[in-house]
Amino acid sequence: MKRGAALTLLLVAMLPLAGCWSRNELNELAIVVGMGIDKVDGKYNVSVQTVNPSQVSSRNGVSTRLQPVVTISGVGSTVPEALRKMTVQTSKRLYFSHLRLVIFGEKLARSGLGDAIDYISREPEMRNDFYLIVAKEATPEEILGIFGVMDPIPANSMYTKLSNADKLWAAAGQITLDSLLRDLMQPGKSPVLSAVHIKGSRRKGTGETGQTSIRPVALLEYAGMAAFRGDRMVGWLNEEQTKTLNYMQNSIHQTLGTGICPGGGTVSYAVTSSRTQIKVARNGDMPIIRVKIFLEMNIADTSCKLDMVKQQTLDLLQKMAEDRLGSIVRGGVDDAQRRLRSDIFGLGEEVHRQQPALWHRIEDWNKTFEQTEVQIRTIFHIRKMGSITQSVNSKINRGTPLK
Amino acid sequence: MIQPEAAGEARAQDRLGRKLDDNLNVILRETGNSFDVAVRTIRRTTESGFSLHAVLVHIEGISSVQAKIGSLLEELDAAYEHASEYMEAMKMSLRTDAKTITIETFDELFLRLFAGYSIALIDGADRALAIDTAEVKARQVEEPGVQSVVRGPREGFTEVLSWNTAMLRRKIKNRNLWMESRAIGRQSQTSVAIAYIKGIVNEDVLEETKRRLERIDIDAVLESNYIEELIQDKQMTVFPTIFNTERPDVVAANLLEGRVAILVDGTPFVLLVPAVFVQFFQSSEDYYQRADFATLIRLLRFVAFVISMLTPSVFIAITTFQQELLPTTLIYNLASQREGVPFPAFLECLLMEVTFEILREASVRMPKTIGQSISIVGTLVIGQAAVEAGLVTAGMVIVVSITAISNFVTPAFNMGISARILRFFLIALGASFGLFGVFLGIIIIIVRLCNLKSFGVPYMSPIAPFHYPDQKDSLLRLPIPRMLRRPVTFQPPNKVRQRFARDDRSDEP
Repeated sequence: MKRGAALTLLLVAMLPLAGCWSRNELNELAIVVGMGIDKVDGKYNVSVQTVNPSQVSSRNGVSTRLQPVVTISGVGSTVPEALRKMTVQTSKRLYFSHLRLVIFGEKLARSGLGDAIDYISREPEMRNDFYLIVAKEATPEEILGIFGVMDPIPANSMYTKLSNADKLWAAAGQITLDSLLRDLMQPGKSPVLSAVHIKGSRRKGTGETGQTSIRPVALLEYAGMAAFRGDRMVGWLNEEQTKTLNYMQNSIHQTLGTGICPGGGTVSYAVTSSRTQIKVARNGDMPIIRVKIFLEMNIADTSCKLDMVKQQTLDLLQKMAEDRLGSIVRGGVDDAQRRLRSDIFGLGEEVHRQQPALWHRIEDWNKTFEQTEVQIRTIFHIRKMGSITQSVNSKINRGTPLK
Repeated sequence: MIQPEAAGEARAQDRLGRKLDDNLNVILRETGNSFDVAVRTIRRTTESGFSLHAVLVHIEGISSVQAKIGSLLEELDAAYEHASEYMEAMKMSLRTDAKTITIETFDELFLRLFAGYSIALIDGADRALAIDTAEVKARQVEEPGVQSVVRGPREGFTEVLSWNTAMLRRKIKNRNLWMESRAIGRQSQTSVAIAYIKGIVNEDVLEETKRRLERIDIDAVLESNYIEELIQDKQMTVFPTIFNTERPDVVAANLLEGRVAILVDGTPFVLLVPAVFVQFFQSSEDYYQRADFATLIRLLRFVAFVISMLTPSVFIAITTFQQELLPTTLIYNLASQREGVPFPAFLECLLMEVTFEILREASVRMPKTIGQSISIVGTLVIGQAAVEAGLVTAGMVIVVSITAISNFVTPAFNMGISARILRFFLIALGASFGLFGVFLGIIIIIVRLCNLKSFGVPYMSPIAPFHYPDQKDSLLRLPIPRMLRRPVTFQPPNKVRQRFARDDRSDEP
C-alpha cells in the first residue's frame, strides 16, 4: 500500500517533467495555407501565406484593419533554410499541417523540382492532401499576394476552385504530392501539374481595391497545365491539350463540348459519363496503342435548324461530336509526341501492364513514345434532350420582316 | 425475524430475576431513566385469588400499547397460581392478535424493547413477555426520486424494511423467495436483510455475501452505503462494484437473474450483488419499452458515457498537440476564439470544469426555493459572460456543456460519478502528452475494469470474459420472447427463464 502510493506519487511527479513537449496552443501557431517556391539566382525564394484567424472566422465580423492572410518570404540555399529565415518576420511558429497549396515558379519547374519536393515530402508535419501547381507568367510570391475575392483566404479559394474545376470541366487537374512522386518515379509516366495565372491587373490585385470592387480587378485563374519530363518542366498545355490528358487518363467526371451544326447554329454537349479504354497491341518491337473513349452526354443547348426529334439528326450530331473530340485528342497526343516529347498520359504504364515482355525490351520509353502509333476511336451516345426538343431559335415567331 | 447477536459483554448472560421491582430497576437504570421509556403498572387480585403485580414497558413513539393488552391484564382470570403460568395464559390469549415472544435475558429484552415491542413483566416470573406493538411512523410509498421512468411502476422503496420486503413479496409470490435478517451495528442494531430466490441464486455468491456480512463489526449502519463499502471487493477503484436501486421492480428482476439483494432498514436504497459494468447502463424502463427503442437508447447511454469521460481531454489533446486532425475551416474558428484568451487550454478547461462542478454541487445543496436563481447565475457565469470577458473560448464552453449533459444520461448515479472523476485524470494526461496520453489513460482504465470482480463475477462480463448467450441483454436488449435463459454470467442453477411461447420447439432442457 505504501509502496503503491509512493510509486503513484513518483509517476505523477513525472507528468510535468515532459514539460508539455511539442505542445502548441492554437493562438501560437501561424497556420500556413499556401507555400510558393521559386529559384532566384540559384537560391530558393520561399514565400508562405499564413492565416490571420480573427479576420477569417465569422465570430467578430471582419474588420478592415487587418488582412485575412499575410504572405511573407525568405531566401535560402535550401527550402528549409529559407523557411527558418522567415521566423524573424513572424510572431508565431509556422504550422504546415493545413497547407492547401504549393506553388512552384516556372523557373524552378524548368530547372527541376527534385530538390524542392524533398523537403515537403520529408517534413512529417505536412499532410499530403494539398495540391501542387505551377505559376504561369508570374512568380509564386506574386500569386500569393493577390487578394481572394469570394473567399478571404486566396489559397483556400484556389484549392476549392481546383477541386470543382476538376469535377465539372475537363481542363484542370488536381495533383497531390503522392501522385506527383509516383509519376516522377515511374518510367512509364511523366508528371503534369495545373498552372495558375493572374487574370487582370497584377499591381491593383495586391491592394485593397482588389477586395472592394464588385468586378474583381485581379483573379487567380487556372490556365491549362505544365508538362514535365522527369522533374523538369518542358512546356505548357493549353485547354484542349489538358482535355486530351484528362480523357486519356480516364479522369473526366463531367465536362462540356461544343460543335457547329450543318446549316448554321451551334450545339453544346454536356458530358455526363466518360470511360476510356486503352489497349496495347504489339507490332514487332513497337507497341500499338488503341484508345477508345466512350461518352454519354446530354444536349445542353442548341440553336440548330435541324429537326431534333429525328434519329438521323441525333446520329449526325453524335458523329460530329465524335469527330470533334477525335481531332482534339489526336492533336493533344501529337503535341505530346512531337513538341513535348514526354509521355504525360501514362501510356508507358499501360504498355508495362499489358505487354510486360515488350516493356522490358524497351530501353528508353520516352524515345519510344515519340514513335509509337496511337489510334483513337470515340464512341458517343446522346441520352437526353432536356426539357424541350427543338431549338428555341427555330421556333421563335419573328413575324414578317418589317418593310 | 431478528436474531439477537451476542453483544459480548458480561451483562449478556444476565437473566431476569423473579422480583419485578429488581427487573424494572435494571431496565430503568440501563436506559438512564430516559423519558420515553413508558411504564404502566397494574396491581389487582384475580378471582382465583392470585395477586397480580405486572408492569408494561414500552418506548413512546415507536410502539403503542394496545388497549387489548391492558384490558387483558385487567380481565384475564386464569385459574393459575403462579406468575409464569399466568404469563403462559396471557401469551395464549394474545396469540392471534400480535407476535409474542417469551424472553429470559436482559439483552433480548432491550433488543425487543427498542424494536417497538411492549414488555410485560409479572412479579414472580423470571421471564418476560414481549408483545409486538411496533407502530411504524415513516414516509409512505412514493415515486422514486432518482430513478424515475416514463413507463413503469411508480412505487419506490421506503425507509421501513418490512414494507420493502412486502413490496418484493408482492412482485414475486413464490415460496422460493427467501429472506434472512440480521442485526448489524453494535450501537444501532440495524436490521439488514438479504433476499434471494432459492434455486435461482448461485449458492457460492450467497455464501460469500453472508460471510462478508458476518465479518462486519461496526458501531452503526445508517445507510446501505455503509454496507456497500464494507463488503465491496476492492476499495481502490472509482467504479462501483455493487449496484443500488430504490425500485422494487429492479430488485425483483435482478433476483430472478440470480442476484442477492441486501435491504437495510432506514434507507430506500437496496443493494444488489454481484454487479457487472453493463448493468449500470440499464434502466428498468428498457424492459417496459419496445426492444428496438430500448436497444437504441441503451447504446446512446454508452456513447454518452464515453462523451462525458473523454470529450474535454480529447479536445485539449487535439487543439494543443494534434492540430493536424482538425478540419481546416474548424482550425481557423478555434484559433480565432483563442486569440486574447490568457490561459492555456488546459487551465481554461479546468476552470470551466471546476466551475461546473461547483454549480452542480451548489444546486444539490440549495434550498429548492433558491434553486432557480442559481441556475440563472450559473448559465450566465459559465456561459456567455465568461466567453465575453475573454476568459474562456466559446468552444470550451460547448465542450464542457456537452460533457456535463452527457453525464446525466447514465441511469446509475454512481457510475456517472466515475466518469466525472476519470475525466480529470484524462484531462491531465491529454494536456501533458496529447492523444498519446489520452489513449494511455483509456488503456489503463480498460485494464483496471477487466481486473475488477464483484463477488467472484468478472466486472466486465459478459463482454470480457465473453459470454455469447448473455449478449442478448448487455449492450443490446433483444425482444423478451428471445430471452429464454437466465444470464450465464451468474451461473444460476435454474437456467431457463421461459419457454418459447409461440413455438413448440423443445430444445430447452
